Amino acid sequence: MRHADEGTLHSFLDRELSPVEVEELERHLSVCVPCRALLAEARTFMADADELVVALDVHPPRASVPTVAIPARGWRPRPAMLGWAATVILAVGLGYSLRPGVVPPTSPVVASRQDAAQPPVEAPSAPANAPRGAARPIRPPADLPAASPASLAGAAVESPPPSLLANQGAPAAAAHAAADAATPVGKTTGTAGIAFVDGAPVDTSSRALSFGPSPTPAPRRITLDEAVAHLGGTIRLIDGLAPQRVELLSGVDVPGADPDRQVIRVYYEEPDLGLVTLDQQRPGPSYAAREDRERRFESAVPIITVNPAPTSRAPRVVARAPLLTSTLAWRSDGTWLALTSRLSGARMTELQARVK
Amino acid sequence: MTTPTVEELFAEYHPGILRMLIRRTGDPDRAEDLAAEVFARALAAPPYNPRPWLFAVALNLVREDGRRAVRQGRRLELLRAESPQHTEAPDEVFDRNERAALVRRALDQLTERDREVLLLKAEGFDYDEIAATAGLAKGAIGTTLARARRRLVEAYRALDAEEGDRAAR
Repeated sequence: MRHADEGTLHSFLDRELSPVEVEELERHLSVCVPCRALLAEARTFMADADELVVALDVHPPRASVPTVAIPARGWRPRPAMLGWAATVILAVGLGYSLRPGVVPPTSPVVASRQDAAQPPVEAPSAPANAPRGAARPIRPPADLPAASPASLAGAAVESPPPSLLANQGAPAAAAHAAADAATPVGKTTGTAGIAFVDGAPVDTSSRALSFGPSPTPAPRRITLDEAVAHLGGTIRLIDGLAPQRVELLSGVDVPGADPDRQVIRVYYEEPDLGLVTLDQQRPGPSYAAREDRERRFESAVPIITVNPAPTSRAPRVVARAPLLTSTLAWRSDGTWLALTSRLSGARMTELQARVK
Repeated sequence: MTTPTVEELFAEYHPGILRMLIRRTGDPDRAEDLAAEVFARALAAPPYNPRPWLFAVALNLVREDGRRAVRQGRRLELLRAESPQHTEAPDEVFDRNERAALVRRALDQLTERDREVLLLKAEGFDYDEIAATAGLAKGAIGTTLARARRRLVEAYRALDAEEGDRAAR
């Protein structure tokens, strides 16, 4: 029997094989243990590569929002862009991805209208209508005053940074609501505009500007009761250990979880165990159905992935030493669970047995 | 179906283009300039099939722009506003930036094609779209991704181990 090649395995994991090809592969995998191991390895490479690529999005954490001052020096008109009513508005994407391990969702871009009466923040509208967050049309600002770069710099620096952060509650809440729906939604945290008028830049809104992929809501500390409510009545915990902290995260930030739903993360810290986190989630029905195929092969080789670097935002600052964490993920009664720690596979399996 | 306006294209695709360019170049300012150039070209010649076209142009610009050492265009100064909710400790920032630099070095070890395919996949492109954008046969995408992912991870692990050794000394 012909063994599965790497390309086929990755195509399978990317759900790019035709139904016939899938059936053929599954039939082979059902009788070939080495290929099942290769599949597990492929899955690890895929997950690790995803995480590494995301780590390239180097932005400050969402809570710390840069404001941008546009300096007077070094302006150069962009002739290619001036062929449009002599003005072009550049809208810059908003928000940040938070930290390594975050998968940036599609992010919205909000173009500001060049008038002073612009509301500072636009929370995402209903997912069905604006799957990538609300985007306002870019319009050439015929009524814009031309400003010299010097006055621009002055204006930009003198004006107080807007309180974008005051608005974070709204996008976060809306984002949670949106995340619970099936569609991934981009989130906005503010708006800003830079306009070029005949080549000279004009900052017509003295609002903070940020760029990069939009953030997922930051992990939020919650109580155990809230966690139970989120999970629909029951929470799984490690028998015999006291939870130190419970957080609510977006599924997008947790490898292996349904990105459209939230994840409950329980932190444990014990002298003999170090830091252990237990993630759990009730995945959406469509996600669960899609995962069915892979699940059949998961049991053949327990998926313990070795993480290249700390993936959880632990309450304590983790030392620079390159200690590796491992994650053991499994499903139980429709709940997706993942244990992460620096313990050995055997001890992780022991802990897993204590999860009730 | 009406052709999307440039405003619509911008709203829809600029974030993804910018994100990919930042990952590809490691330079947010340069990425912004390139992203703006992509849409300037779209203004000049609105594409019929926007997504592959925009991303292909973006990747081409990176390749062409590669040797240009001096960045032209806007230079932005970033001023930070602190949040009362949650500040990142300096060593966390350091770690995160270090890690990104390490990933970048690992990514640089891939071939141009492997790297592009990987970044397009990370933007949510399916195999058909990657093939259209990168000019490859669809049948080759799985193999390319497999190789790219494996090489990136192995390169990173090797570099990370090197760094670990160095730190230990």
